[in-house]
Amino acid sequence: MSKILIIEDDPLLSKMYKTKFSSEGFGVETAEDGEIGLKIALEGKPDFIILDIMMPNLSGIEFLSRLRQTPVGADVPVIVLSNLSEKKEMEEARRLGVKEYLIKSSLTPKDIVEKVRGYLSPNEEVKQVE
Amino acid sequence: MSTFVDDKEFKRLAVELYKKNLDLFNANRTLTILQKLYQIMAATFKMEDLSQQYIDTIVSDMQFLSGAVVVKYPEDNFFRVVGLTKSRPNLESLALLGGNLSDIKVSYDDEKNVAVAAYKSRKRMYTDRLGDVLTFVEDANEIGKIEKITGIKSTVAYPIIFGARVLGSFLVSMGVEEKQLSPTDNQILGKVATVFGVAMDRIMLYQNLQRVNEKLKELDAQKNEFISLAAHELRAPMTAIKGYLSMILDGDAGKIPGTAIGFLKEAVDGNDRLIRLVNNMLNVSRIEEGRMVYQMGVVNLKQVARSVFNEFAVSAKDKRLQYELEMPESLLDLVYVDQDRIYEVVANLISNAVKYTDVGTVKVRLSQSSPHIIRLEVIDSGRGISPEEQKRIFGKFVRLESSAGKTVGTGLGLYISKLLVEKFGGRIGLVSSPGKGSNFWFDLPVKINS
Repeated sequence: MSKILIIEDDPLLSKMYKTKFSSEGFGVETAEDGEIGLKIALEGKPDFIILDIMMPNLSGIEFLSRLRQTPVGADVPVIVLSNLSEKKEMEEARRLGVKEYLIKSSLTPKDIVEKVRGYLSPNEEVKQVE
Repeated sequence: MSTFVDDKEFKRLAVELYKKNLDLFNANRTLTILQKLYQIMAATFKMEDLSQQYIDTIVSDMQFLSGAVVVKYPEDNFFRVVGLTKSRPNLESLALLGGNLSDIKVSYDDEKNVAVAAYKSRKRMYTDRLGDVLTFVEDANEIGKIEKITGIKSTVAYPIIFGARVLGSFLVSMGVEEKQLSPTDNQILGKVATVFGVAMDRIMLYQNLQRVNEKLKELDAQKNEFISLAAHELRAPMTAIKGYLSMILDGDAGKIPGTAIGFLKEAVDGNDRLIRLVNNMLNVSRIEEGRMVYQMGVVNLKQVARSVFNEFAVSAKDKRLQYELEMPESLLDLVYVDQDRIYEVVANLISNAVKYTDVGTVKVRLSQSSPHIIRLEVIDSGRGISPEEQKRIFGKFVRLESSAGKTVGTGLGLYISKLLVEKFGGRIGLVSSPGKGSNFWFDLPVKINS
C-alpha cells in the first residue's frame, strides 16, 4: 500500500481528497499547513506528496524548499495541487522539482488519483489528463 | 490740380493722425499682451505656472512695479498666493515674511484685504496703503520696511471671473499714488482679467478631471483586487462540488438511478461553467492590469491549430458536423507568442463555432496572403451574426441574443482572445451575415526564420 501525504489547508478539499485516495486503497495522511506537513513528511516518509501552495504558516513553496534540503525529502515525488495559477509560483515549484503543477478546479479527484498512480508505477500506461 | 491745405486744417489733421496713431499703438499693445497670455494658457496646466507667467507678462509689458495673483479653490476657506513677480525688492520682502509664497494664506473673511474685497464685490479695487495688501502681516513695522524696500505706493486689484464664478484676484502695484490708471491701461487690464478667468477656469477644470480620474483609477484597482480575491475564494468550494459530483458519478457512493445521473450531469455542467467564468474573470483582470506573465516563444501555429482541431473533433462528430482542417504545407507559420495563450484563443474560436453550429460545417483554415502574416480562420455555417451584434461581439461580458438559450459561455472568451491577439501584435475580426454563417479570423505577424 502506497502512503501519500496531502498538505491542504481547506478542510473541505482535504477531506474530499482523503476520502477518494483511501477508497482507492492508498494510506493517507493529511496536514493543514506546510509546517505540520514538513513534520509528517520527515517522520512518516510518504511515497508521494500532494501539495497546496497558498497556506498559512509555511506556504507550499517554502515547504518544498525546506523539504528538498533534507536527505529524506530530496527525492520524494510531489505534485502541486493549487488554485493559484500565477506563473511565479509555477516556475518556483518546477525549479524545486515537482512532477506537475495542477490546477485544482480543473481536475476531479479521480484524475488526480490516476496521475499519482502513473508516477508511482511508471511502467503502467496512464491516460494523460490536461 | 493741387489741393490747398491751410495751416489750421493741417494742425487738425496732424492731431487726428496722432490720435489715430496712438489708438493703433494701444490696440497693438493690447493685442500683444493678450496674444502672450493665450500662448501661456495653451502651454500649461499648472495653476502656479500660469499665474506666475501671467503676472510677469502683465507687469513687464505694462510697466508696473509689482504684481501678485491669489486663487480660492472651492474646497478652501482662504486664498492661496499662486504668483508674485520676482523682482529683487519683492524677493527681499518675501524673505522677511518667511520666504515661502505657498505659506501665505489670506483668510476668506479678511475683507479689509484689497484682493478679497475685489473678489467679493466682483469689482476693481484700489488702495494706497500697503497694509491693505499685506493684511496677513501683523507687525506694522514690517509693512513699513516692505514699503521702503519695494517703493510701492498704490495697488489695484482685479477680480478674476469666469461666467458666474469668481476664481481669484490679481493685483498690480505702482510707485506712484494715483487714483486712476489711464483709461487705456484700465481697458487692457479689463481684457486681461477676462482672459485670466478663462485660463484659470480651464486649469481648475483640468485639476478636477485629474482628481476624478485618480479616484476612478483607485476604485478600479480596488474592484479588480476584489474580483481577484473573490474569484480565488470561490475556487475552493467549486472544486469540492466538482470533486464530489464526479465521485458520485464514478460510482464511489454506490449505484445511483439513471435519472439522478442525468441531474448530476446537469449539475456538473453548471459547476464547470461557474469554474470557467471565475477563471476567465481572473484572467481578464490579470491581462487588464498587466499582471499576466507571458511565456513568449517561437511557436508553430500549424501544430497549435491541429492539436486544438483534434480536441474538438469528438464534439463536432457528436453534432454530425462536417469538420475540416485546411492547412497548406508550404505555410510560414512561426509566430512569437505565449503558446498556452494562443492555444486558448484558437480553442475559443473553434469551440464557439462547434457550439453555435447545429447543421453543416465547421472549417479551420490557415492561410497566408503575404510571407509576413499568417491568418487563422474558423468558418462555420451557423446562423450568422447581425452587423449590430458584430460591433459588440469582442466586448466584455457580451452574449448575443441569437445564442440565447443554448449558451454556456461566460461572455469573456472573445474579449480575452482580442486582448491576447493584440498583445501578440496581431488583429482579430469576423465576417458574417445572418443566415450565412460566420468567419472568425486572426492575423499574426510571422517570425522570419533566422
